Amino acid sequence: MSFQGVAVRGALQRDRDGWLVFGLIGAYLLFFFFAVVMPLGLIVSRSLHSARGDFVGLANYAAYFASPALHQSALNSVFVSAITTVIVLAMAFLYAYALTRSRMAWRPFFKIMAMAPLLMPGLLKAIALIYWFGNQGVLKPVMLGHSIYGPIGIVMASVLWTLPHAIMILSAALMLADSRLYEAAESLKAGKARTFWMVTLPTVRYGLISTAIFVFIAVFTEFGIPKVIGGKFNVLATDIYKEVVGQQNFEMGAVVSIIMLIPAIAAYLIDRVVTARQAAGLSARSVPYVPKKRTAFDAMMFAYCAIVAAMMLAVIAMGQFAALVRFWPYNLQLTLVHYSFNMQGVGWENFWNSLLLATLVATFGTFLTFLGAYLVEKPRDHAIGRQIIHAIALMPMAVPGLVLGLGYLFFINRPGSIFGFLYGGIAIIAINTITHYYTVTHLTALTALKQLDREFESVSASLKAPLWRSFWRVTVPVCSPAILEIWSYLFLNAMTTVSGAIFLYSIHTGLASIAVLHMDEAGRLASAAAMGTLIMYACIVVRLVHYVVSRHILVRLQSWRGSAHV
Amino acid sequence: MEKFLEIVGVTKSYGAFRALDDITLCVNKGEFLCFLGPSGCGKTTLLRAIAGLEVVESGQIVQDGRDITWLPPSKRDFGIVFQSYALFPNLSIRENIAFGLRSQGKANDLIASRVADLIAVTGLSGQEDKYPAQLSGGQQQRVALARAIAPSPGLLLLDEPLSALDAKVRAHLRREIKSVHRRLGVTTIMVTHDQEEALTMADRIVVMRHGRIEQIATPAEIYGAPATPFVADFIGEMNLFEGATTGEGSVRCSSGWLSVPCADLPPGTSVLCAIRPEHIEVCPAGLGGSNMYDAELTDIENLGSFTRLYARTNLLSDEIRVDLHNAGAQPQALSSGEKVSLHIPADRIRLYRKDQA
Repeated sequence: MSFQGVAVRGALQRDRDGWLVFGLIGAYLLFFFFAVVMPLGLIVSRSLHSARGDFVGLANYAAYFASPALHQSALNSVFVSAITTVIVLAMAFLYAYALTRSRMAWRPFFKIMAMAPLLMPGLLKAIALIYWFGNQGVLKPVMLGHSIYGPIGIVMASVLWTLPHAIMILSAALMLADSRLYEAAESLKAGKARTFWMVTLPTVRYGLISTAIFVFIAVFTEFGIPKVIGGKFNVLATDIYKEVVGQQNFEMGAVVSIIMLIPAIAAYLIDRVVTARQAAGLSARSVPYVPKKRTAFDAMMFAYCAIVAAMMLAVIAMGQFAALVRFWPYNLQLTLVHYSFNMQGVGWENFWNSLLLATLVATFGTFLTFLGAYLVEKPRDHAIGRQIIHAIALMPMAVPGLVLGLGYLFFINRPGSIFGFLYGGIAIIAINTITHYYTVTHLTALTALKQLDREFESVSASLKAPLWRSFWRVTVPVCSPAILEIWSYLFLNAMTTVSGAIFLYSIHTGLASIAVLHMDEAGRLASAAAMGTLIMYACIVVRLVHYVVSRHILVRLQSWRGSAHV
Repeated sequence: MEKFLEIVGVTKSYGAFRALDDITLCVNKGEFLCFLGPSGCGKTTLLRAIAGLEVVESGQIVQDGRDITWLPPSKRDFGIVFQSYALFPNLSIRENIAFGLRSQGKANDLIASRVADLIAVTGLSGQEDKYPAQLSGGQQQRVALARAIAPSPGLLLLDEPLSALDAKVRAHLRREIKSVHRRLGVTTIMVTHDQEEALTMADRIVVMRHGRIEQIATPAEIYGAPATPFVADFIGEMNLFEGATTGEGSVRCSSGWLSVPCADLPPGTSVLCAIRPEHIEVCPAGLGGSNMYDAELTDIENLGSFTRLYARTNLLSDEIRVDLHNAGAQPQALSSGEKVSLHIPADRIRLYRKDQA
């Protein structure tokens, strides 16, 4: 009867902060359009066009599937990814179980050892494996005549590379255990095996699914490892590289990219659903599980962790050793000669370039992602714009670095592109890297921001303080641990990334990680290893600085938190 | 009395849910007003609408002669205290309180003296350089109050300010907030679901349900003359029972008749009768008279200052509750299963037409 059904929804007048937020949201939407949507759109579009630019529909895809050599790579990718996933799940679960559910000795040491490989570039791991198991390797006999160059090497290097991440996810899942469930199981006279199946596995099932998806996608889209140790065993990622760099067949590169992108996106979506379920199953009232001392079990766990840690150490040590040996395996004299990189177009400037890139990526990336997460989390209006920012921020994780890099190449290389000036500069690599790692940093910042009281901004507005003041005086200091975490995460990834930069670097912006690849291609393994160790030491230094600084901040945080609750 | 805040026909929905349904009310200058109601009644939404933290769909809010309906929070004139206090954790107590003064661009010495005053007023001396987490809940609450009133706002909004505290501290702070209010004379609106808080602190109470106002009145009126069965039931204890008027000055209840003035109601009207437990008198068994009923005590609860009796009567099929003050000798003499007579004074009974409930 009346018009009550169609209530007139008004909006408040905009004050200065309102305009600021409005402008920033607009700027982010614009940034995402150019940094994510356009490059991906161009890949799709390129895959549907011929080399001369005519629209050919799915003809390129038909050509792809008609070529046995090409779609064999897809099968190969699935094969190594699946094997790695199974191995990593088993190894990581046992390791995480030992860390969280046993009272074995040296747990802090094993925790550090599990994370240590994160500081070592994947390429260096592959090189270290070649020194261990290659044609002139120390342990060549254990290969029983098989070659390390191929699926075996890819799987081994991939296991080393994904194991730390898998252990991290599974440890977190195992730590969520509610001790009351175990007490209940015990009081109901359930045996150890039954308790494991009925209590432990269900609590970590989402963690296991998440881990499996992560490992599979990581290996499925990895470029550096198969490039160095894959030999003639082709996978999707190396195919994209060959099509684009080797044959200049951009259209087929785009097709392979889409073939690689689709399963990645599907798996990622499954993971989003799973993670949401896991979060919903959490109860704030859980009582943390404290493992009991069990001598035999603890000893077994210790032995297992010791073996894994020894493997990690062996690989790391071999990486360094490879860089120092004068002429493997004939002259084992130690020397620093490989650190002079006597090769055309490669040198210390690659390392400086990488440091510069990592600093740029970490600094601008932290600023960009934190402010972006703030815009998503804190303002009350512009709900649609904020949801779009959040949705796009979650996308890059599903996009392999190689695909995003190719998209950027298409984007800035288009005739008449207004971003053409970025070509060959370090800025485009930095933007690409920030975008590629946007999802993780966005989620980290979001988690930190969610822990702040929802009403800080309301209080601040009621006190007539401009938004930037509460942001700068309260939000940033309170979130400083997360901000540091994001900074060092971006720095480490920018130091080690290969796939994102491989299509975008120029002779002026050669990076250390790409130099490793090129020296390996030229057969100069020792120099490649030397460059790899430089990356590793830079990562270690940054991690140590991060540790010291965040300790300092935690001490200050502690003083806010106080001890005396009267 | 001078009107300070006028709310006219304010409406707000979340999807199909009507959070605020045509709310109209008026707050006088210097008044302490409470929004009281069960959770989901819209009291917090109304407070946030006054602050500009929620956008209303229609209606008008006028503060001090200025239409603020569509103004952002920063352009309005209020201080607010949230249930969580929302104290800035990394700023000292002093800096928390000074936060609003600094954004007004006041000189440092003015800020310092104003902060010192507020710290004295709220009894926080000696805590200036601590951080919020180092204070007790009650002290944090005072810091939040001091921070809200520091810039001398025209309107103070309190969103369940006491509900995070334990009972003793709560009772103490009730009086302190009242005394701060008396001293500053600032118009104050407090949201609470705790009727005791509302009854003890408010000049007037706004009882809300389902996004509508049930009654606006002083605490005494709300308790003594609740306008609707909901208010009668929600505030304090109340025996509520159904009946029908007979046209002879009585109401037919489930098992008997109750004499009550109801000449204005046509015979056969369905009504709800309300009588407070403390208004029912306990008399020796076998006593006769108007509104005197035979009763058997089924249960006795000692609640400290008073005793609650549960009784079966020949008036109702349901049990009836009776409160006796423990200062008298009567409660100690009673035991469960005992037969007594209950007198329900006709002038204490309130009738509500069922079709209007």
